[in-house]
Amino acid sequence: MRRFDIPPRPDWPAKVEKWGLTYHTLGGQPYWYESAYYTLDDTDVERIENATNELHRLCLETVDDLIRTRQIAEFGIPEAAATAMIEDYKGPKGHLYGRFDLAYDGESEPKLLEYNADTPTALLEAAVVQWQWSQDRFPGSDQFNSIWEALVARWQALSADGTLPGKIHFAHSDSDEDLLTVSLLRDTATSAGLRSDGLLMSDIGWNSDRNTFVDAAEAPIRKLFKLYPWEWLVREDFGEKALLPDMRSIWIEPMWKMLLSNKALLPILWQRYPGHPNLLPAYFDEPGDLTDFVRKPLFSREGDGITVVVEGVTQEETPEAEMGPAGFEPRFVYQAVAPLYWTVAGAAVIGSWVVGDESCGVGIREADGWITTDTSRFVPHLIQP
Amino acid sequence: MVFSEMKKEIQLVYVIAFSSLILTGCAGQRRDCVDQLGNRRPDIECNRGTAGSRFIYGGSPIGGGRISGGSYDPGTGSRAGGVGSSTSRGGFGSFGGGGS
Repeated sequence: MRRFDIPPRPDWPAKVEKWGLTYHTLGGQPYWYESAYYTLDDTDVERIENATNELHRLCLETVDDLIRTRQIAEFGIPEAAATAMIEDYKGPKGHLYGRFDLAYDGESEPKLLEYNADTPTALLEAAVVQWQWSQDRFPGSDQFNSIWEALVARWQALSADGTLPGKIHFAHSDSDEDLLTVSLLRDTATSAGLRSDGLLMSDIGWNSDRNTFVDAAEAPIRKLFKLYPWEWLVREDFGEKALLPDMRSIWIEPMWKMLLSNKALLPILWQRYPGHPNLLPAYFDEPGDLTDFVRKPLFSREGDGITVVVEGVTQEETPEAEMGPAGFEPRFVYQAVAPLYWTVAGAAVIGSWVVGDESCGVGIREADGWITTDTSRFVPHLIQP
Repeated sequence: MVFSEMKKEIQLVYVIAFSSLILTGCAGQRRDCVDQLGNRRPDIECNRGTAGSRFIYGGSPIGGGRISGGSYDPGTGSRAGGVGSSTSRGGFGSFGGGGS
């Protein structure tokens, strides 16, 4: 893994906007950053791909055991939601996608930082925009990126096994990035031969005569992709309706993804697979024997509420955002500091995409310091054998 | 695996349509939950019907967390069910930015 500086294309904002990336600049700073790029060689790709598939396998195995034995108290999920999740897990488990955030220093095994298994974003830039950049700047070059193809194939697979109706609704919150992420997913579904409709989460209706969720045209919602976290959804006014037997199976991602997008997963994986090369030591409530650690809230999102401590000294911390509903237990996990890829530009984190159950590509985010947040730069990459 | 040999046939329809609307400022109507004095409040207060709170559409933010202008009429896509409607809305989506 290497990082190179390169002049950006003179008209890069227009170039990336052409492919839908309207949020290329955040707070006056480029979020899409093509003044540099990373290269991965075949060994890097193989390590990341293998680690991603292995971690996903461990996660599925863990979810299965936790639900079967009902050992889910550590996740802070409301009791009614936990009960509904256990019941729903008995049915089809069709899931779509996720993104592991991995620490990778270019030499040792990639380490799991977290699994964005419920509502991953940075998808358009990873699947489409960095690919167009690569073919523009380095025609014929290769990239660790078959995300688009994998999504189309996944919709086809879900459709073939009978778990999808003719039309899927896609719901999102009122944010441009979320709208465009959902739009990309709708485009992949269209390419798979499916019909779709889009709506805001706040426009989802509950029809009390028919006991069903409906769209803006009062049509019943049979299958709903939601770019909206389960931990918020179950705590909102319609949350209990989402848990009803006829309603709890309509969602993509399914309820059990709640367990994977929760930071409680990190110490639980370490308890189950201590010393695993793709895991970092992690503990509930206190750092244990760790001298260098990262403290993360159970329900942290996009780098919020993170504290990095090295040799007893706080290196960096981010405020806990006031987002989402009240009622979360203020609980933390402590994870060992990971070996990141550092350059003068800061630290790089690998966003490794899983579609269905297979690794299919990466996006690389670069932060000035230790903590990757929602404004950390997205830097494209190439494969250079 | 050689990924470039997969010949990406990316067909963006919704992405291009909605990004064009965003770039031209037409993606959606601004909506803010305000109290009786026009102070911005969390959406959940309007969704829950907190006394004095209501949505204002198409307003503009001014200093001090206040919203100026706009209309209490949502125009198209009314949020409340009509007379006799058995559909209620606003039970999800009180919080913005659901991605991670």
